[in-house]
Amino acid sequence: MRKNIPAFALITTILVLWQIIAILLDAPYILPSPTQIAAKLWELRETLFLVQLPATMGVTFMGLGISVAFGLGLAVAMDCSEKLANALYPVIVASQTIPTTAIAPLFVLWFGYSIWSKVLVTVLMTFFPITIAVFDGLKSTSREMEELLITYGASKKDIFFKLKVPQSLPHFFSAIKMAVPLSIIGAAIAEWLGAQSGLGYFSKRMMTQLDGAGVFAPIVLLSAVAMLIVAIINIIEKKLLGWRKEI
Amino acid sequence: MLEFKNVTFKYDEDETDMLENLSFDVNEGEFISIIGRSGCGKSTVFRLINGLLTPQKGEILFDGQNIKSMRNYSAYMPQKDLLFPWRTIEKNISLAMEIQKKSKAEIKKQAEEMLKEVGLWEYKDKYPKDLSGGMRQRASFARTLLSGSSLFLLDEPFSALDSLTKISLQEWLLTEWEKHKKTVLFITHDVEEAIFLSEKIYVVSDFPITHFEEFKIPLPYPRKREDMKRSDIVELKEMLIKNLRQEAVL
Ligand SMILES: Nc1ncnc2c1ncn2[C@@H]1O[C@H](COP(=O)(O)OP(=O)(O)OP(=O)(O)O)[C@@H](O)[C@H]1O
Ligand SMILES: [Mg+2]
Repeated sequence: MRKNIPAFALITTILVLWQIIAILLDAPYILPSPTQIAAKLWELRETLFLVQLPATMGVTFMGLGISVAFGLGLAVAMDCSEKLANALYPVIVASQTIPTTAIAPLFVLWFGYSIWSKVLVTVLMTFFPITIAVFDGLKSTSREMEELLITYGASKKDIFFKLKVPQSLPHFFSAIKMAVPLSIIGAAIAEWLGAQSGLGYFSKRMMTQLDGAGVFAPIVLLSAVAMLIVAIINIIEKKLLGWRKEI
Repeated sequence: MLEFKNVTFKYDEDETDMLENLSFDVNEGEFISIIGRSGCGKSTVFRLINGLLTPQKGEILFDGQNIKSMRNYSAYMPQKDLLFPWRTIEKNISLAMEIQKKSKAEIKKQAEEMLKEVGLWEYKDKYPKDLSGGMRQRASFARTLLSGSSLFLLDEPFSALDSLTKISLQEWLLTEWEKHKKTVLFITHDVEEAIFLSEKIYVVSDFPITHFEEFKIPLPYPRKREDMKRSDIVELKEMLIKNLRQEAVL
């Protein structure tokens, strides 16, 4: 707790400064003050929490689910087949440099305003980082431990479940923690580009109405939700990975 | 029990053979140490015995049968303890039994007995990170014992330990050996350790390895530290060290 005090102090300072600047600037359509945003959150609570947030979370989790499922599958396949890994790994790494946000409009063009264009954007943003992290995890297994298992007569399946899975679990967790914010960003961007619901869409609509606090409120909400999800994953990780050396 | 017959082995990457026409045998219940300078191929011999490597020529027999068709005849304890950090001590030592698909109840029973025997009962639910180096080696040894094999291959198990822990583990190992009547092949760099522990010492003296020079240790079991001061033992030790030194120069 004590070590968090400086961070709290910093955040409070920033909020206070923001509040002062916003009051001095007095242009809420450009820079609404934190209290105005909070008031807006409260005012719009029903649509924000009950309509727009569920819509965005639906896209986020659908995209994340697909990325995790296919990312794990591909990573395992690449771990089994060296040929496949040699063919795909460089391509996947190179694909990381493509600015996904820039090609997102294409998906809206192809798939229209349906949920799939948005899911596709989140998948595109999270699939490859997850695949690479899990693959690296599977490859990081200690050769000596593997040999030890072989001398005990272990099958490929034993090696996979008793060695590779537990050893790559930390990699998997860091991949997920990185992917959660990415998939939320992906969903919001896709909604911004074209959608009929969701926090991204809502924020854009407020923009057209020059409602500064209304633009900020959904974004603040998204950030808070992302932090909450990562915090929950952290707790699960601590539970599952208690065997790790404390640093 | 274990027999090398004209075994020749070469790593793919290397130009020259590592082992050339090497023959030796190990009898049931023996405690044999292998010493030789670093990089001379001692661990390679172990990897051939446990089947991780296959010889280009010759054959390796276990109880008269070629090891190619066998599994689980030897138990290998590596230099690093290689305990799985995500498994508790109890789960770690159960590893080989799990792979052999023994029943849960059987595994638990054997693991618990073993934990008591090696003095790690209180640590059974702890993770390896919570144990000292000596305890980890004992856990690693317990895991090796529970593999059920009768031939033990111990590759410098104590070399990473401080000297006091090392001494007590050496004595502990001898009592375990006398109790379980296993056959032990023990790699070490430490001549004194080799003399204190083993009935016979195989010295690797040439490259590629074509034979082992064999030395018998004229000490009965159970052994005591004081025995190491006997003049014939001291002489043997000096001779072995000189022997190894000469090779190092070459
Ligand atoms: N997988 C491998 N491929 C090629 N060469 C290898 C391989 N493993 C070991 N070697 C080489 O074979 C030689 C013998 O290695 P080995 O590990 O058997 O030596 P060692 O006697 O156990 O040494 P140490 O006492 O340092 O453990 C070394 O020179 C090493 O570089
Ligand atoms: Mg070695």
